[in-house]
Amino acid sequence: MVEFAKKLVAVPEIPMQWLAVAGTVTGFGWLLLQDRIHPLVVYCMQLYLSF
Amino acid sequence: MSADAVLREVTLTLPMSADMEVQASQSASALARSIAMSPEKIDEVRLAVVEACINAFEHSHADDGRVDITFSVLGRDDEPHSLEIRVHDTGIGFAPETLVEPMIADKLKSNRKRGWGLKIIRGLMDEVEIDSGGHGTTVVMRKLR
Repeated sequence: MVEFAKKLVAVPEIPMQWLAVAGTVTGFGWLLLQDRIHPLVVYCMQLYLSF
Repeated sequence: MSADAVLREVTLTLPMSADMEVQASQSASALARSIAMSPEKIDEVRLAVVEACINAFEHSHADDGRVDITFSVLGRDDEPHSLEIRVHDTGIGFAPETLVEPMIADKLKSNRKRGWGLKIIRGLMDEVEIDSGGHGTTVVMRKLR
């Protein structure tokens, strides 16, 4: 029944991994802008991005 | 802070070349140890000095290709209470108030991944002052003992 309904309305596959990455990056970015991330963590992030 | 006396002072002039910031961080570390600063604070000072030097190396575009760093132990009645570090270049300068913090999503796509240097310095040190203009840039950082 569910399969039949899916075929009828063509429910798109939800890209969970993409959503999780986007959510994490957005959340971290927001905390960064609010100065709620320790400078050592910011330094490590910058170092990680450099490689 | 201005009424404090300079108890000791060390000046370094570094060429803008690879790994020179390590020399600066070692000098900062030695002076911080001499005033019995805690190891955690010494690490924070070292990191701030490295970031300030790399900023000068990468962004100053100074014709003389060098950075002057002055480390001063400040105190009263021969009792040291803070370390002051001045990182000076004679480059093109910038307007600190117009500096926009980079967005992490943009940096993920960009080739240049750095950009949080000043934020790191401000977070690690107790006081940070930036004087910048056509004459160059001076970053003054202070850390209480």
